[in-house]
Amino acid sequence: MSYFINRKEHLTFWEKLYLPEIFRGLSITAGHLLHSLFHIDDRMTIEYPDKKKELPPGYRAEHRLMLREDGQIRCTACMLCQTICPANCIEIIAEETEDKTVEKRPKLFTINELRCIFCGLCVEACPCDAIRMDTGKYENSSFNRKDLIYDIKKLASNHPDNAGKISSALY
Amino acid sequence: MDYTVAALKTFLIFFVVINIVPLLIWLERKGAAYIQDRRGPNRAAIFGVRLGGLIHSLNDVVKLLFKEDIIPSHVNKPLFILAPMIAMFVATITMAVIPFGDPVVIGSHAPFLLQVADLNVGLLYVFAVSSLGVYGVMLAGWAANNKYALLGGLRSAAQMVSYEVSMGLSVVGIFLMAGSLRLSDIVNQQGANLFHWNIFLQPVAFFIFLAALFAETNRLPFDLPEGESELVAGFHVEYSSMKFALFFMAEYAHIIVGSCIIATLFFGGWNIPFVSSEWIKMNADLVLKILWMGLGLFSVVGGSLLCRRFKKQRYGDLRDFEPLVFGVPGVLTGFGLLGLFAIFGNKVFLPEWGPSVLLAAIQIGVFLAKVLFFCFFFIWVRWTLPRFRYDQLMKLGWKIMLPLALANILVTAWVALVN
Repeated sequence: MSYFINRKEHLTFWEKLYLPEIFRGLSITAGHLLHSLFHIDDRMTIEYPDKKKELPPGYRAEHRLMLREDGQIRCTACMLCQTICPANCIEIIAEETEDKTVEKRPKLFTINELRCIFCGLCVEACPCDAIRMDTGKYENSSFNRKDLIYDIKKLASNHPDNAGKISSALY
Repeated sequence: MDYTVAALKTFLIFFVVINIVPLLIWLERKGAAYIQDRRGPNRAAIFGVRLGGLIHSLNDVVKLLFKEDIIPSHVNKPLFILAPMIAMFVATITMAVIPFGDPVVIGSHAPFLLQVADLNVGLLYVFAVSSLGVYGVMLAGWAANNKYALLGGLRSAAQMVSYEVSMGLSVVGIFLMAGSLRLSDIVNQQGANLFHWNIFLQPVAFFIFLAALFAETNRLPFDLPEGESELVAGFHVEYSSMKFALFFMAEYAHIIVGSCIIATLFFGGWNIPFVSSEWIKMNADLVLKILWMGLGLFSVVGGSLLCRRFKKQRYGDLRDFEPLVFGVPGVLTGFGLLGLFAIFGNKVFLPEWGPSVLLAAIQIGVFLAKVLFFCFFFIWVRWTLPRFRYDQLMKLGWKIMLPLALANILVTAWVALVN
């Protein structure tokens, strides 16, 4: 069944005169201009590099690897994060460890921050709270790509200033 | 001797126009930001002083001067180089006939004109030259050998030719009222009475002229030749470096020239509302004192307002002291002026040539104030109205503005005949 949508403009005579509406528009923009001119400090935008916005609590930023109480990395190289990662940006190579309560630990834990889509699935998947994305570091820019492929050392020390490095989760 | 004076005046006017251009670019950016509730450019700085983003214009100049000037291999080289020159030349040459004030008469010397050439066909000259402006745009579009540029040039040609007609016809009413094409005659005919200015006597002509001027200068809402969304950058898409800068400057020079013409034709040129030139000449001492006091008070108030914005640890570096750079000297000069006025205010007497020079200075100031207001109006309109569609543009030009302009001529002629 064919149907017809009436898209004709319905302008009143006053609007068809065009000029009054232009003057109305001009008065609106002039109002904004004057308001911005006299209330310089309560504009919506912030001066970014000088002032930074407070991030919401669930914000997903760069990754970090949490530590145990004895200073070891919590990760047990179970490969769950590597498996679930939709962007394929995590690379883990496991090795055996002398600590018989853990048995397995990552020899290599590399995250390509350039490839990462910051979906947070790795954090969801991790059974032992080893990987977190709560660093609040979102300014990932660099002069070369190598600097943004984080190895295990970088990830284990990528902690924010105001949070602890140690997670006391069960496993 | 005459030629030397004319050359000096030409240089001075060119200098003024060239220096208003970066100011307008700054006003455009800052005005756009304020209208859209943003902050606008404020990063570039010299020793921490940012002048509210004015340094960005300086940076632009340096950048445009030092960028590589690319001439693509597929262009028509002579025309490609010629086009920006034509655009800039035509935009500034119109200033030659704009009168900035009454001729200055000092003693028994011949009157000194405050314009380069007092042509008796002044307004015709303005139209003749400004319609040459389309050549710059068209040649740029054609020579670039690029489909976007060509489309931009085509649109520009069609638009400028159509709006030229109603623009020319709209001012015929003003010839009829003034009985002369000389711009200084048109200004003198309007006089100091606000209600005798052409904006009140010829409102229809004013709105048609204004709309046509927007189309002539390729500004929004008529900026189809460079419509970014469909034509990349329109006619100057292949230009880079200083050649692009010439087009950019030509656009703003066009705005300045257009504002000058509007101020001259419709807003009484150099006339101050309800204050006649004779009165200023008679009471030169009083006017000088008022200006002196006013400048002092303005400096004090403006300077202290700026100083009030000073807050320690706002940024924690040199930028904290930025309001003081202008605030403190402003307050000091203001108090200095007021103090000098208190001491010498009653002992100053103008020499014989004083009143004429003072009058000329005031007239130039008033004229420039009007011009700057219209420059701001151009920017204000740009950030208010969206772009027209091509068919709407043509419909407005040929079906609405042309008949209105013709009707305006008929009515004006009839009134002039009856009187």
